[in-house]
Amino acid sequence: MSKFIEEIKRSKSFYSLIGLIGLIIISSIIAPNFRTINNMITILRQASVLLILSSGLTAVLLTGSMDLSVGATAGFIGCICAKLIKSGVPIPIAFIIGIITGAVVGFINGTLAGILPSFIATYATNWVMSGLAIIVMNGAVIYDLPKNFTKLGVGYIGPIPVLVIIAAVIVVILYILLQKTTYGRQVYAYGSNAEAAKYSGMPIKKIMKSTFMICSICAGIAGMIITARLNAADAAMGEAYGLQTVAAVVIGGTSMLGGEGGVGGTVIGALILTIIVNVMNLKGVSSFAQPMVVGIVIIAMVLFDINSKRKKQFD
Amino acid sequence: MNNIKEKLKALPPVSWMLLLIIAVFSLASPNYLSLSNFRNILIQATPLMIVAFAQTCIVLTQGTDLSLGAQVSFATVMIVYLAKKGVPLFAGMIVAVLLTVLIGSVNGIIVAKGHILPFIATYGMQNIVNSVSLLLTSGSSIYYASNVYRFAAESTFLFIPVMVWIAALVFVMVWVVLRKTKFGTNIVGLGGNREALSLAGISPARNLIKTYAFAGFIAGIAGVVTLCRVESGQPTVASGWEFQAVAATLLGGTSLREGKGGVTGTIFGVLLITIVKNGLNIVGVRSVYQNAIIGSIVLVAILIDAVIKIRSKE
Repeated sequence: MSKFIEEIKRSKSFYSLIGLIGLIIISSIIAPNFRTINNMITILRQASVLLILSSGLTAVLLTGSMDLSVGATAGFIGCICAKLIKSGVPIPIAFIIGIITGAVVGFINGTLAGILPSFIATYATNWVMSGLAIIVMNGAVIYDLPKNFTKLGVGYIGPIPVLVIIAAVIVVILYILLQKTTYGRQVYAYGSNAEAAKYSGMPIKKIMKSTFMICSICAGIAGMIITARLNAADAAMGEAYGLQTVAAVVIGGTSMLGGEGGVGGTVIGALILTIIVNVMNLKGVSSFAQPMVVGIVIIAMVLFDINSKRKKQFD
Repeated sequence: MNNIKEKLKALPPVSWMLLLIIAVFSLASPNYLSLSNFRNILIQATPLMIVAFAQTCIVLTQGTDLSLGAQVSFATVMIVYLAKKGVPLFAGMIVAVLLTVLIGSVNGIIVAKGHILPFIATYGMQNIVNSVSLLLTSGSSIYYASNVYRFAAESTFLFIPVMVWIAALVFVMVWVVLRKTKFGTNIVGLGGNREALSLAGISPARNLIKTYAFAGFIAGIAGVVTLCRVESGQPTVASGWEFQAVAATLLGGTSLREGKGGVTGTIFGVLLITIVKNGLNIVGVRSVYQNAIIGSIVLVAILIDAVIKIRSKE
C-alpha cells in the first residue's frame, strides 16, 4: 500500500490529481447541485469530446512535438462525415472515410513537423483545415442527420451515455498503446532523448509521424461525435476545442518537452477543465468571465506543476 | 555588379515570392496594379505590421506571445470605454498603452520566473485579457465618435497615410532598439545563447520581462491604430493576429530556433499575407475559399524558407 502511494506521488500527474480532488471538494461545497449523480453524468458527457481529443494529442506531446490543428481537423472531418451521410452514404462507411481522412491529415502534419517546428507547421495546417471545412460546407450548415447517427451523440446504453463509452474505450486503447507496448516505450524514449533513440536504431521519423496520425484520427472521431451530438455540422464547430485540448494535456502534467506524462494525467486535465466550466455554469457565471477563470487555472496549474518538480530554465 | 548580386542574395526568400504573387495578381486583374490599391494594401497591412514587430522581438527570444491579438483588442475597448466615461481620448490611449505594458510585464514574469513555456503562459493570458474585454463591452462593439480616427486613418503626410507613418515610426523604434541598444543585444542573446548571457553577468529573467513588456507597449500602439481604423472598441477585432504575426515573422526570416533575424524581414512577411488577402478579393475569389488559400500559401512560403535553410546548412 505504501509502495502504491509512493508511486502515485512520483508520477507526473500527482499534482494534477490533487488539483482535481481539491476542485471536486470545493465544487461540492459551493454548488449543491454539483453533487447529484445526474450532474456527474453530465460532466462525463461534456468531457468526452475533450477526452478523445486530448488523449490523442498526448501521444504527440510525448514526442516533444505540438499539434495545434486538432480543433480544425475535428471540424473538417465532422463536416465531411455529415456531408457524406446526408448524401446517402451508409454510416459505417462514412465513419471509415472519416478515420482515413484523419490518418492522412496526421501523416501530412507529421511530415511537415519533420521540416518545420511542429507548432508552426500545425498552426498553418489548422488554418488550411478550417478553410477546407468551409469549402466542404460551401458556407452553409448541415442539420437534421439520421437518428442512427445522432444516437452516437445523444443516446444512452443503460444509464450511461454512448458518448462516454466511446471516449472511455479510446482512452483505454491509447493508455495501453502508450504505456504497455514496445511502441509506447519508443514514443517515450524518442521524447526524452531523440538523439539517443536515433542511435539505438529506432525508426524515429516513423514514430513521430505515427503519433501525429494517432492524434488526427482521434480528432476525426471527435469531430464525427461533435456532429452527432449537435445533430448538425458547421465549419467552425471544432475551433473552440483547439487550444483547450492543449491546455487539458498540459494541465494533466505531460511535459511539452516530451518524454514525461501520459494519458492518465490527460484524463485528469480534461476533467479539471470540464468541471470548472460546469461549476461556473451551475453558479451562473457570465460566459464572458469564464475564459478568464480558465486562463488563470491553466497558468496556475502549470506554474504549480513545473515549479514543484523542476527548477530548470524551460523556454 | 557583384555587390548588387550579394545584396539581392541577402534579401529574404519571401521578397521573391512577393514579386511572384504581385505578378500573378496583376495578370489576373487589370485593376490590380494601381497606386490607390497599393495605398489600400499599406493601410490594410498597418495594424498587423505593428503587431508583427512586437511578435518579432518575442520570437527572437525563442518564444511566441499568443496574447498580442487579445492585447490589441483590449486596447481598442479600453480607450472607448474610458472615453464614454468622460476621459479624453488621448489620455485614454496613454492609459490603454500603459495597461498593455503591464499585461506584457506579467507575461514576462510568468515566463521568466515561473519557467513556463511562453506559448502556454501567453495562451492563458490571452483568455484572461479577452475575458476582460468581453466583460467591459458585454460582448459587443462599443462606440465613441471622434475626429481623431479620421485624422489618423485618412489624412496623409507626403502622400502617405498618417497611419502608415505611425507604423514606420514603430519600425524605426524597434529597429533602433534591436540594433543599437544593449537591451536589443540582450534580446537577441536570449534566443541565441542564454548561458553566455548569464555568464556575462546579465540577468536573462529581467531582460525577458523587459522584452514582453516592450511587446506589450507595441501591441498597445497597434491597438490605438486599430481603433482609428475600425472606429469602435471591439473585443475580438484582433483575434488571430498573434498567429498571423508569427507567420509573418517566420516568413521574414526570423528563426524560432536560434535568435537570428530582425524586423526588416517581417515587413515582407506582413506584406505577403496582406497582398494575398487583398489580391484574392480583387480577383474575386469567393470568400469561402480564401482561408484555405491563404493558409496554404503561408504554409508553402514557410516550407520553402525552411527547406532553403536546411539545404544551405548542408
